[in-house]
Amino acid sequence: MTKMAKIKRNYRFLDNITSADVAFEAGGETMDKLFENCAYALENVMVNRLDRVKAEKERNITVEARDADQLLFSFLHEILMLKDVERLVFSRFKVSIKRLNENRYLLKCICKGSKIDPKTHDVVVDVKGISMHRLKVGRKEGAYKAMVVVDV
Amino acid sequence: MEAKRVGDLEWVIDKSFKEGMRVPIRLFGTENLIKNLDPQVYDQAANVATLPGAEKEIILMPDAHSGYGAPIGTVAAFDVNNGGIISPGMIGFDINCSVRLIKTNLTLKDVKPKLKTLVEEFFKAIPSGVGSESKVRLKEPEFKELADGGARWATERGFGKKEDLERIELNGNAEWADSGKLSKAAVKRGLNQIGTLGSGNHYLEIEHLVPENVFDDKLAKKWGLFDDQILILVHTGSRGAGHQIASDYMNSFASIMKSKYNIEVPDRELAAVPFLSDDGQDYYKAMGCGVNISFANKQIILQRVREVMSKVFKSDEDSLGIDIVYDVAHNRATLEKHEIDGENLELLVHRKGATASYYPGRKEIPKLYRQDGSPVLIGGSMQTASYLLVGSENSRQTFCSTVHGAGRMMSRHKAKEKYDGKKLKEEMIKSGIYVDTDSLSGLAEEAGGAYKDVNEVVESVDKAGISRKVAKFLPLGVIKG
Repeated sequence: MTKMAKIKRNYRFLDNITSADVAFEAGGETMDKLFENCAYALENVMVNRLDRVKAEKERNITVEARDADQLLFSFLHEILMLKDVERLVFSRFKVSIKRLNENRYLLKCICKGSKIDPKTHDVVVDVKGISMHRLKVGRKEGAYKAMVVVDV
Repeated sequence: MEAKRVGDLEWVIDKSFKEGMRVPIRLFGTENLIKNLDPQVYDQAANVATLPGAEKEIILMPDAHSGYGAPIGTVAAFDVNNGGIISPGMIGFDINCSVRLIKTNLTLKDVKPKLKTLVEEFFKAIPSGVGSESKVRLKEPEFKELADGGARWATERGFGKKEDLERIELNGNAEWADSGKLSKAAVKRGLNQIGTLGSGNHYLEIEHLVPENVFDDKLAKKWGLFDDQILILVHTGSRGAGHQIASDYMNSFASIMKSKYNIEVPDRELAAVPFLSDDGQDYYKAMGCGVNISFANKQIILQRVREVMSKVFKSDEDSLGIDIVYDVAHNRATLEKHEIDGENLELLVHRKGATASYYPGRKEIPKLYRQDGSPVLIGGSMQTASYLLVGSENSRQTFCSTVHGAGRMMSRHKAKEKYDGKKLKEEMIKSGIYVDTDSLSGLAEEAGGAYKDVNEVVESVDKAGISRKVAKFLPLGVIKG
């Protein structure tokens, strides 16, 4: 019997930051990978077993920001918009970030997923907003790291 | 423990706790509750105390727990004529998240045999959960009218009746709202979510008033309660539109507060601008739209409650006596006058996870209740009791504010590890609480054991004279998103 492999991503949920809301920490060898992992973590707050979310609808996200923290905030926020406006949950992200100049980052992301359906998806809880509380993109021992707190 | 005991149920953290604090912090609660506050609460509350215009004290309620920016369970008041600020993070993403208690003429005997059907019919009629979609389709201009008119807009369109408005805080309409201050994104995010419950700790519950749980017979009777009565409790807010209003203004305040107003905050989430600035007024007006969207949202849910019950009990809505007892928010900032050291100040009172609890006579209380004090609704966790209280004299000490719920003490992630949603559902049904949900994982996150003891939380404010107990309700049926 073959089982679908559970998607393994570089993020973990933190218990000691907030009891009301949800905090996660993510990592990545590059900033692109870090942002992808943050996106998976965010979707995983709302839906368990992302491997069961079929990649049948595609959307593009483009955001610009003056620094990496703001870029992450805006990127995750766009994912929430697509959840509320089009009722989409994504299980595949392909991020590409360019630093245009010192104060300008550009992110493009291809997101693949499907309409949220409680019958087939293990839905958990709605994320209301991305908080800026302790939001930080940083580098540690050659890898990129970020912590994010979201309001549920 | 960081807090110094100054009374039976009162504790203080003075200004020396953290650099930059303008005012001390006062906490209310039993020793057990205060001892078990998570450590982040102190630091987050101290950050709030540094904000410009903070008056007298930052108040922490017995149900306080760490959030982001400010703890849930914080009350902070800012003198608007003295540079006092407005901060979206001090209100929260779910603007005007509130609790509505609805009474009926039915008793346990009437409802018990039909409980399962009733829960299932509610579940069908009121969309809930992640990605749920409204059955009310609105175009953008109509949505803006709703954002300006609140519950009044809803009653004019046949969702409920005019008399409902007398039993809602602010009569269901934040008159200062201006939909011109909403972003396109806020409208877009809200359009499909009117009349939906949401998820997380949002719910609709069928409640039972056991005779021994009436604490103030006279007031309970006056407000339309009776022994063995069945009531409905709804907990939800302004949905995606409200969340977007908060995000929009948090973001914009974070980028302008230093350059434009020379305001620095210890946590970006507390981004703030002076209330009396153009930017402050813009957010206040947009926040008013959040208030209206929330009250209209619940007005539509009330209409569904009336329709479902009249179908299930084969009776018309009026003879079932389905009427609001009260609807009160716990995430909002309101402009109010309070006396501080003999001076009558105009304060912007931010309540984040705290409920307004006005002592008798205050003009903020709808006429129907003004001489009694404002009704206060405390939603417990889904396996425990909920309370109806009334604002009393000592609420002068807390800028007329009280608790809002049991207060979480376990993170969602931990709760999901500890509780199994399927088992929990079976246990609840076995214990007489019929539950319906699309999300067993979400149910596990909301297990009663993840929360503080609501009875102890409520006893604290009752004994402290902030709000007195009127009645307590036990859940019979739960619809969770």
